[in-house]
Amino acid sequence: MTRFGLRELRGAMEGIAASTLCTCDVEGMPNASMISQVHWVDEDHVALSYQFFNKTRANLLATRQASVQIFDPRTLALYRLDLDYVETRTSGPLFETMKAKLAGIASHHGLEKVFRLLGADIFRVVHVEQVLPPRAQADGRSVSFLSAVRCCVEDLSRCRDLDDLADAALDGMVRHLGISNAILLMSECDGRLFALGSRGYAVSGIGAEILPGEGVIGVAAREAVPIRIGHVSADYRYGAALGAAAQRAGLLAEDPAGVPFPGLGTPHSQIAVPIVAEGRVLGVLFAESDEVMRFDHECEDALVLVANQLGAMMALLREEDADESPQLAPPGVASEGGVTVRHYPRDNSVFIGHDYLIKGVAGAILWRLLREHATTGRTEFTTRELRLDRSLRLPDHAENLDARLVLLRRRLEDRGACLRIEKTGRGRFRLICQSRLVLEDAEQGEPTEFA
Amino acid sequence: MACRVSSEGTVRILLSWAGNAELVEAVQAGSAIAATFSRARDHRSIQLKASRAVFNEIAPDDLSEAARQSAILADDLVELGYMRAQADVYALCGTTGLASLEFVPERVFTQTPGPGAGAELSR
Repeated sequence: MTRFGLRELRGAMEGIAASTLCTCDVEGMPNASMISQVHWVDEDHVALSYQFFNKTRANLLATRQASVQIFDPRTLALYRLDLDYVETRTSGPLFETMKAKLAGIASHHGLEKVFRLLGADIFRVVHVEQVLPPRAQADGRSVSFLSAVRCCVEDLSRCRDLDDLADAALDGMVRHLGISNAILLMSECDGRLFALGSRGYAVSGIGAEILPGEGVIGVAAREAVPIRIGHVSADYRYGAALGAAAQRAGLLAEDPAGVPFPGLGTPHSQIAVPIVAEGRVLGVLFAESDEVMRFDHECEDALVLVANQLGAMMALLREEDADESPQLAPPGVASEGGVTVRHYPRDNSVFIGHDYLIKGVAGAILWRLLREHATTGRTEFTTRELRLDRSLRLPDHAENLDARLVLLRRRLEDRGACLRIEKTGRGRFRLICQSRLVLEDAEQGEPTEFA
Repeated sequence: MACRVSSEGTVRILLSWAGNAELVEAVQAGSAIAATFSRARDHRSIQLKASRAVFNEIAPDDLSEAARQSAILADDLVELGYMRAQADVYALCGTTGLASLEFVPERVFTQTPGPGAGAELSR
């Protein structure tokens, strides 16, 4: 017997080639079937997809033993694993990872209505046999992941605030990890996520929203686990669910409010890695490609390291509040021409003219700043006063406010709006209005005008 | 890597001795056998079972027939997106030392993925 580390065999568990599973009934009659997924769990365990109650299932429950043959398409090696059944999981991170992958496999084979994951069967690997040795070198990678991760981490370590971190993470994915299309999303406290930045798309999509559990991004955030699929299934596409949910909720009477998700039209591979710090999911790093099976186990390892470092840096660089309130500054001088800014309290969406700008907590923040500016002429603000403002209903975690301010600033910049937000110091920022604004609360009273 | 069926209904599976030592040992010890056949492009599958099987010498034209069947499978795999080298190896699984594993199927089951998989086919 040759003992192979299961980690070395991960290339045979990418789901490129179907695997063969063999079980026996209690009388010793064998049963052979093809299986969609052999999922690497850890150094001692694999998980198999349980999709139907069939002979394989009956045999497994009766004998708790199986043998599976897996093929590594990179090295062309063939392995046989002897397995002892441990348990079946029907929810949780491992189940969701396999469910997403299975949906992709099913879609690839035109079996979307047939394949449904009922459970993730966990097995202890008791023996590994190399049936056929490697006959090819695994493809020479264009990037060494260890070196690439080092470069990403070095870039992150030079950052001074969340704004820098967002750019460094996305640029690192492109420059060092060779990823063509990437999006950084931050979590809302209700499970939704919004895009804070992207690379590789015609439009940035800053402010685009992902619903809780939607697509690989939503599942990765909800389960705090990387989700990686090599064949994208309709079940995990973005946009349709959001539109339908918005319509159901009757959110807006006017044009649908929202920034379109910037994703590829027909992606084939996607990976979403949660950004975790202090046990909480702060956001998600997402990458996609129009290549089939673009992201493998090693690429996932690299992105998890980058995401973990990003999360730690986000926690470390939380904006501290300024010590004192800013001096009242004279009102900014607005140029000629008036623009109506409309606010819808139902979802805190804000429109400039007829164009949607932003919604949610970031929308509420902007509306508060504009009202304050209209009433007092103030342009200088602190994060502390926002944090203390109960009407904004900010979550407890500091980086949520930071992320929303970055989102707001970027979205205003992206839209080329007549408003800007500038950071002026630790915990301080400035509102710059370049036009005369008319504020209109869509469901309350008269418009307020100010210059 | 290939299969031939005689007019009497004997199924002959042509496979490589290499990598199948445990199978050979089990068959020689009188084990029952199950063999699943699956078409790559649409996953239509059947499973044949028998209470016993034997190894016999290969026929003179077995090697060329095995090569023909492997080439068809490899072409199918390339059509499905495999690289040629991957498809060739996956389809051939070793060409040296062909063995002929023979049995008469006693029970046949449909094995196409789906809720009906595992249903026994009547004779």
